[in-house]
Amino acid sequence: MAAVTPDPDRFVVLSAYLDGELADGELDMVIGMLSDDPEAAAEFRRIRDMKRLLRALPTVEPPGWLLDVEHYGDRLSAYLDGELPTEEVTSIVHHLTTCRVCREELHDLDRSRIAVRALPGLDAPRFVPPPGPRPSASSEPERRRPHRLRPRPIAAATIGLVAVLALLSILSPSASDPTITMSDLEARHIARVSIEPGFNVLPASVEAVDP
Amino acid sequence: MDDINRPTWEDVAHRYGRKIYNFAYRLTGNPDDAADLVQEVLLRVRKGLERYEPGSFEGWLWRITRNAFLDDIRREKRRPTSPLPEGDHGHLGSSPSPDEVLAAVRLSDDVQSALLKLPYDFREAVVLCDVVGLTYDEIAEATDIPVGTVRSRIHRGRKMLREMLTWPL
Repeated sequence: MAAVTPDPDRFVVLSAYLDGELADGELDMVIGMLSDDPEAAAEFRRIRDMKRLLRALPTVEPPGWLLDVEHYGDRLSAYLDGELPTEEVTSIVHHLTTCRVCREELHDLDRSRIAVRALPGLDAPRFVPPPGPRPSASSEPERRRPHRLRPRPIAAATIGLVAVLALLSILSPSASDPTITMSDLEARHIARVSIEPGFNVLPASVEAVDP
Repeated sequence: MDDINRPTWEDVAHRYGRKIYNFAYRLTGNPDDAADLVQEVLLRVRKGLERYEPGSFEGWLWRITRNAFLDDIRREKRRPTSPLPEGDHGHLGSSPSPDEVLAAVRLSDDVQSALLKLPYDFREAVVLCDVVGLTYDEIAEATDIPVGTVRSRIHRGRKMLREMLTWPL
């Protein structure tokens, strides 16, 4: 037993002695009290007799319905769902009139059952599969890439245009003349468009002049 | 206590039901109150078993029992020291000798009557020790008081009982 603080009643150890609950070192003290102190010896006898009386109290048998009964445990769910034979239902109903624990267990089960049954119904997701067998990945037609401008041909055309314009400006008799005539513009236009493949490089006026 | 070793409330009812009933009966002196207490304890055990942490199962159980009893007293404003029915007082002190009264049902009535007159704290300690059979350490755990106080209450409770029972021992 754990150490205890001294009690003002020095005879407390007598009860502890009777109960086998003395702390270390108290046994010698009790033996000394009982052998040397008549008052302690008389107190010891009184306490001992009282303890005997208390221990002699008869065990009180609880009513039969309280403990000596079969509880229904797992079968309470089947009872709730109406899945038990009639005779078992009758005995459960009778049992429930007295057994608070089974009644509470039944209520808990019922609450759980109601909670599950009260879950809202969900609509199936709208998904319409394509008619016919689904094509495999290998047979799927190649997707056309969106048209994109290609930067390299544009850059080459720009460089070519600049080079042609520079050459014309050098070879032209009016190269030093800043005045731009209509024929110059037409020539420049032909030069610009001539770099485009398949384009009729010669305007109608040129054809008419040349034999 | 793991799930494998954790008892069900039915196990507790089977193993401890009579002890709980006797504890309650000796504290209340009333079989109906004792039966109510047993059911209340089993309800609390059923709810509490899932949260039960490994430790002294009996300490846990008796703490539940004691709390259920005290809650019942508080709820009903019913003190177990209420006056006994007529006829239960008359034979206090009338038994001639301990040996004779030990054999008589009347003696247990006298002791029971005297128990009910004890202040609750002393009655509880004496009943847990002498009726239920708990050790001082177990009583201290169940009642949440120091073991020295348990020892003192048991001794003083027995002395008070002895003084109430006036027939010679």
